[in-house]
Amino acid sequence: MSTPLISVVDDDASVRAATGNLLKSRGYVVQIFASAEALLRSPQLNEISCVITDVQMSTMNGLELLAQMRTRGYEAPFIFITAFPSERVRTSALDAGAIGFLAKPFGGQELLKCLDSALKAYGARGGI
Amino acid sequence: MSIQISSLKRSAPQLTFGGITLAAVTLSCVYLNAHFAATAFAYLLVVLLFSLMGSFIASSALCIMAIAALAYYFAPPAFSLQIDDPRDLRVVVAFFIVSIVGTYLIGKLRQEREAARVAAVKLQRSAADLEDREKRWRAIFEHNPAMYFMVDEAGTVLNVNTFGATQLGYAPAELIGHSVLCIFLEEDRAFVHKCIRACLEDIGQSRTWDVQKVRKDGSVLWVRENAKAMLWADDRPIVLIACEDVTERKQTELALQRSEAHLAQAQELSHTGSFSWNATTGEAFWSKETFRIFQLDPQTTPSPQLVVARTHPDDRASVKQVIDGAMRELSDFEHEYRLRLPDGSVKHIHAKARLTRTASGEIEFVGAATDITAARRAEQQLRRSEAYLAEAQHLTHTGSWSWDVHGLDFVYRSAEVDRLFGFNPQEPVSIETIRSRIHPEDLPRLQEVQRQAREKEQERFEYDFRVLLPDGGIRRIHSVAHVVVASDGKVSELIGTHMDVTDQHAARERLENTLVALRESEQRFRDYAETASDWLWETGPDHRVTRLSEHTSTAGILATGLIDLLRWEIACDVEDEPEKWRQHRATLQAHQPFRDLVYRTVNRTGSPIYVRTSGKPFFDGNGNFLGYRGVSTDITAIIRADQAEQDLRKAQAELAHVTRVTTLGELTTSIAHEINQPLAAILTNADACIGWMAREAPDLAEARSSVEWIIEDAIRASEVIRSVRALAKKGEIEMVPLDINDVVRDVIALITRELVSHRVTLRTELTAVLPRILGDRIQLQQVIINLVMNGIEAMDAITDRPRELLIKSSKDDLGRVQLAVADCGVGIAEKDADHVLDPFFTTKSSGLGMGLSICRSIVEAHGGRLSFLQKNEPGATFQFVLPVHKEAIQ
Repeated sequence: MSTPLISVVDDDASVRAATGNLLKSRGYVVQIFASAEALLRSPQLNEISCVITDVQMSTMNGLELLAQMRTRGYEAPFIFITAFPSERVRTSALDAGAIGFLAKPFGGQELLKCLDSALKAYGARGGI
Repeated sequence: MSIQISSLKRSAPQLTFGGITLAAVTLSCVYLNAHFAATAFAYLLVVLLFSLMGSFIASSALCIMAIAALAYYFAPPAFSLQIDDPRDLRVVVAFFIVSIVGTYLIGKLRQEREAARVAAVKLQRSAADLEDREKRWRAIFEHNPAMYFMVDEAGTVLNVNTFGATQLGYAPAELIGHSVLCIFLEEDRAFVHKCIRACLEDIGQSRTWDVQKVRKDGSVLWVRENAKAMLWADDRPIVLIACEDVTERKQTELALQRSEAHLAQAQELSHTGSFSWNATTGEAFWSKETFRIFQLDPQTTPSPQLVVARTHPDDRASVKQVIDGAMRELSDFEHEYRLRLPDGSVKHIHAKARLTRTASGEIEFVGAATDITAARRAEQQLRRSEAYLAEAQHLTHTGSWSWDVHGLDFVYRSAEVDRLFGFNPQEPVSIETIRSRIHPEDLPRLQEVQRQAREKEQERFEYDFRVLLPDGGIRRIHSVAHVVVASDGKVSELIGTHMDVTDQHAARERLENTLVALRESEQRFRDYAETASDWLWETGPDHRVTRLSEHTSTAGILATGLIDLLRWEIACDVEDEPEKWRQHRATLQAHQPFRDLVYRTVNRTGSPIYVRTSGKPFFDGNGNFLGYRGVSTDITAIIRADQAEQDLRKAQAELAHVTRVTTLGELTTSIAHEINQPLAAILTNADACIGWMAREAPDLAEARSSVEWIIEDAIRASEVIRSVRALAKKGEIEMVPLDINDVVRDVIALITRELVSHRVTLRTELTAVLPRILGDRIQLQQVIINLVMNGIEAMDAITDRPRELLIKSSKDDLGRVQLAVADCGVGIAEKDADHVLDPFFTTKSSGLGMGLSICRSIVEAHGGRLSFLQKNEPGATFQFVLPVHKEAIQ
C-alpha cells in the first residue's frame, strides 16, 4: 500500500503552501495547485486519494471542480475550505458530496481529522 | 321525351281502371250468361270509354285483354282460347278493328283539342305583353328628361312629349298641330327653318345645333337640339328633334369668354403675360401678351427652351438652373432675369409659377411673366440719385463719386474729386492715371476695398489714403463708401465721398501727442492714489507710536487713539501667536529692520483687519537710536481669500476622507479575507511546525522554514492592516515623489479578493520605468480604488464575455504619467458621458454620486486631469494624467 496522494487547490499562494507543509509534516504525499484547471491538467488524477480545495476561486470554483471530477469518473473525496463560510455554500458543498467543510482560519488538527475520516471512507477502495 | 313520360303516367291508371272494369264486365256477363256479341259490345264500350283517358298503348292493351277474355270465356269452347265458330271469329275481328280505329280517332280528337287550347292561351298572353310594352315606351317617351319633338315637312308639330311641353310651359295638346317655329325667337326662325330643311335633305343623318327657345311666359332658354329626319310609314318624311337645356352651360361659356377678354386686356395693360407648361407632355401655352413681351410671333410653338434662347447670355445659366430645379424638385419657382431681344435691347422680366396638377394627374406649371424693365430702370435711377443727394447733403465740401467695380471706371465724379486728384475735369481719366496718383503704400488697401466690395464681404467702407499731386505735394483723403447692389444681387457700383483731411491729419497728430502725455500723467496720479491705502508710521525710542499718516484716521482704516501705544498693544493676536511677537520684540531690541510682519487688529468700526508692516530704525547724527519709521498695509482681503481657499481645501479633504472610509466599508469583506488568508496560513504553518518537530527524528530544517513562512504571512497581514489604516486615516495631505506603479500595487493588494468574488480577471500593463510624480499616496490610491470598484460594478451584469479589468500605466506624448482603468462592462450612455464626472451624478440606485467627482478634485489638486474616454469596444475607460515631479525631470 502506497502513501496516499493528497491534492491541495487554493489560489492563495501562502495558504496552499501552508496546507501542503502541514500535510507533508504528517507524512502525506502532497501536490499543490494554484487553480482548479491546473489540477484537472494533472496526469495523476486517478492516483489522488483526497482533494482539499478552496471554494471561491476565479474562473472555476471548488464546487465546479468537484462536479468536473465526478463527470470524469474520479471518486476521490473532497474537503472544502472557505474564507466566506455561509450556510448556503456549506449545504451545497455537502450536497455535492464533500466529506468536510472548513472555514478559514482553521486549526491544523481539524483539517487532519477531517482528512483522516475522508481517507478511511475512501480506504475501502484501496487507500491506506 | 316529356310526352312519352306523360303518356306513361296516364297509361298506368287507364290500364288499372280499364282492367278492373273489364273484369267486372266479364263477371257480370258470366253471371248473366250474356250472349257472346252482347259481351263483345259491352267490352267495346269499356275500351272506347277508357280511351278517352288518352293513352293509345293502354287502349290497345285493354283491347287485347278484351279479345282474350272473349275467346277464353265466351267463344265456345269455353275456357279455351280456341274459337271454333267462324262467326264468332268474325265478331272478334270486327271487335278488334272497331276498338282500334275508335281508340285512334278519339286520341286524335283529344290531341287537336289540346293544341287549340294551348294556342289560345299563347295568343292571349302575347296580346297582354304588347299592351304592356307599349305603355312602358309611352312612359319613357313622356317622362324622359329630354324634350322630344316630331314635326312634319311643313314644320307642324306632330307629337311632343310631356316633359318637352312642360319645360316650355305648354300642355302637349297646345303644341301639337301648330308650327314648331312659334317656340323660337323671331330672329332665330330662319335659322331653325334652315336646319330642319338640311335634315330633310339628308334623311337618316343627325345634326346638332344650339338655339334659344321661348317659353309660353316669354322667358328664354338655351337648348342644344339633336335632329334627324326619317321616313314615316307612308313614306312621308318627318323630323325627330331631341333637345336638352344648356342655358347654364351657355351662360358659363359666355362668362368665360368675357373674362378671357378682360384677362387679355389686363395682361396687355400690366405687361404681364401668363403661361402654362405641362411638365409631363412638354406642351406649353403662352398668352398673347407673353408672346408680345418676348417679341415672338403668336404662331410660334412655346417652350421653356424658347425662354432660355431669348434670355440675356449672362442670365441663361441661372434661368436654366431655376427651370431645371423646379422640374427636379417639383416646386413653385420665382425669378428675375433679363431678355436680350433681336434689336439688342434688354428687358427685365419677373416670372413666377406655381405647380399644379391637371385633372389627369399630370404636372403643370402655371405662371405669369411681367415686364419690369421700366420699374427696374426707375429704381436704379432713383437709387443712384438718392445716394448722390444724401452724399451731397451731408458733405458739401467733399467730392462724391460712383465707381464701377467691374469696369474700373468712374460712373460719376463731382468736380471736387477732380480737384482732389488734380485731374482735368474735361478729360477722361484712365485707370492707370488714377493709380499713378495714389501713394504706392496705399494702393493695396484701395484694391482690397474694391475686391471686398465686389465679393460683397462688406457693404460699408471707411478708409484713408494719400494722393500724390502732380506738383509733388501729398494730400490725405478720408473716404467713406458703400456698395450699390444691382438687380441681379451683385455689387455693381461703389458710391462714396472723398474728404480732404490733410489739415485735420496734422491737427490730429498734435492731439495724439498731447493725449499720450496726458495718459502718462494720469497713470502717475492713479499710482499715487492706489498706494494711499498704505500708511506711514513712526515710533519713538520706546517703540510707542509717535506719528501716523493723516488719511488713516480720515479714511477710517485704523482706530483712533493709537498714538503712544505699543504695536503689541494695538495687535489682537499676541496671545494666539506668542512666538511671532517674541521674535518681533527681539528684532526691535536689536534695532534691526523688519519686513512683512503680519498681525491682526481692528479697524475703526471694530471689525478685525490684518496688517502687514515693514520698518527700519533711524538714528541721529551721533548714532543714537531714535525709533523706527515704516509703512503698513491693510491685507485683510488677501488673508480672507487665502482662508477661503484653505477652507475649501479642508472641505474637499474631509469629503475625500468620508468617501474613502465609505469605500473601505464596501471593501470590508474583501479586506477581512485579505487578513484571514495569511492568518489561516500562519495557523496551518504553526501546526505543520509542531508536526515536523514531533517526528521521531524532528526535522528542524522544515520546522524552521515553517516558522519563516509564519513570519512572512504575519508581515503580509500587517501590511494589509497598515494600508487600511492609512486609507482610514484623516491625515494631512503629504505630497511626496511617488512611482505610480507602486500606488497601483498597493491598491491591487486591497482589491484582489473583491475581483475574485466578482469573477473579474485583472490584467495590468504597467510601463516599467516611469518618471516620478509628486502626490499624496493615499489620495491617489483612493482614486484608483474608486475607478476599479466602478469597473467591477459595471461588469456585474455581463455574462456573455469574460469580465476583464485592465489597469495600464504609461507616459503620454508630453511626457506626463498616465493611468487608465478600463472595464468591459455596460459602459456609459452617450447622453451621460459629459456628466459622468459631475458631482451627484450617478447611474447606481444607491450612492451619492460623489465618487468620480471627488476623484476629479483629487486629480486636479495634483495638477492633473481625469477624463472619461469613449471607445468603440464595450465598457468604459477612465484615465488620469499627472504632471511629472519637477525634480524628476532634472
